Amino acid sequence: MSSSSSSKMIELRSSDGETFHVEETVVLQSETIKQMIDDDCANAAIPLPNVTSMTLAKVIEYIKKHAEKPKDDDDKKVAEEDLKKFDAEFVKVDQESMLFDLVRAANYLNIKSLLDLTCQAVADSIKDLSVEEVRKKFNIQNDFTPEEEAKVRKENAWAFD
Amino acid sequence: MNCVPDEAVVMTAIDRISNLPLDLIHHILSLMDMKYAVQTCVLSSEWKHIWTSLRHIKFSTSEFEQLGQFIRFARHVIAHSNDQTDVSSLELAFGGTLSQILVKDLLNYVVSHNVHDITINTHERDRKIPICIFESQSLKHLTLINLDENSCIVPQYPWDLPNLTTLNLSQIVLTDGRIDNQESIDLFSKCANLQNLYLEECYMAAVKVFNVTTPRLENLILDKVDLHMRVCAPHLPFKKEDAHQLIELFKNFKCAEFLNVYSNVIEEIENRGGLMSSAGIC
Repeated sequence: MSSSSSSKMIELRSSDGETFHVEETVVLQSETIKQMIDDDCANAAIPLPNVTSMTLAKVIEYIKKHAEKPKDDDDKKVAEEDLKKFDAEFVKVDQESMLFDLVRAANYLNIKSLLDLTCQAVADSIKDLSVEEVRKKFNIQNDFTPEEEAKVRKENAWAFD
Repeated sequence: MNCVPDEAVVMTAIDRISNLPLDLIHHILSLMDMKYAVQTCVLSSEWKHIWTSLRHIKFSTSEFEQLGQFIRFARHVIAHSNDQTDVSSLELAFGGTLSQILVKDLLNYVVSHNVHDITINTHERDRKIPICIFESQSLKHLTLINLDENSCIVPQYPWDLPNLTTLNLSQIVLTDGRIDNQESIDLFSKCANLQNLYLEECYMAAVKVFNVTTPRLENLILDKVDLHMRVCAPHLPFKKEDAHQLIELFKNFKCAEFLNVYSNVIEEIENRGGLMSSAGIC
């Protein structure tokens, strides 16, 4: 066993009953869990009723990567680059639903950097797509009549220049 | 399409983004330029007014081909934003000769809506930053960055920003256009909560001594600052690892009163030559 594994392990239980063991130092990135540990509520497995095992596994992958500490300054630059690449790949999820599950989980667990990363990914796709493409991608039901839509577009015409 | 869809179809057709809590939708929209946030108004009736209550506003002239288009858009946003919603932050990036009235109206709007953060990036020469932002009672963080070689202009009398904690000025001339010489000035005497001060390539017209009297200052970074400074900051702590930074600072100081310097730092600095006496440390 390496010295890094001497850190206290915390048990997390997903909404579908799966348990995950994560080092306390890693899991402290979640303000919500940190609060529970501070309040001494982390002696048994911490239930996370809003997070499925699939989402939780992704979240843990993220916080584990972000808990890695570079050894020196040279290492630090390499590590920063590496982390950027990891983040870019991390939000390229196969299913759109996973991205939103991650947004909700990051919000619930209060992990600011993960919330910003996933929300930025959603924001970028809205920005880069046409209105029609955004509706299709996120399954947004257009309840405007063509006349109503034309009116709203006209009222906000300066945004479409 | 008229038959009842089976469960699997319903599952795939869930609108996940509109189902998010409103504060998360706001957060997502805040991460893009206001132009794209406003465009979401045509997605569905639910989205029609969401952009009007954003607390973080990001504007950039670079999103528009012509300045006139940006001006009409910015006016549209001010006119239709929810007057009941406070604005938490404004990021404004502009190039070209944007009318001073528009910049003033934009800043007046956010200041009157209790703004906390203002970041302005400009590419313009001799742009006067409207005085309303130097009188904001709510402002905590202010960043003014001028990317042009010609600096922009801020007022040369004490800024009335009682809640300001962080100030970041880059390529700024501190002047109010008057040419009568003054012996000294203390711009931050009314910024009692200032903790972080970063000045880069700032200079000042017609003033001999630049006083910085900041009871709560904890971080001071000066880069290529051509000012004779007199600093009084009893809470500015310097440790041994800050020695290099301190020496850089002293090059800009005329006099420092009440700098909180650890004795081992003084030793370190004395080894590097009589900077302490030339900086007139009291």
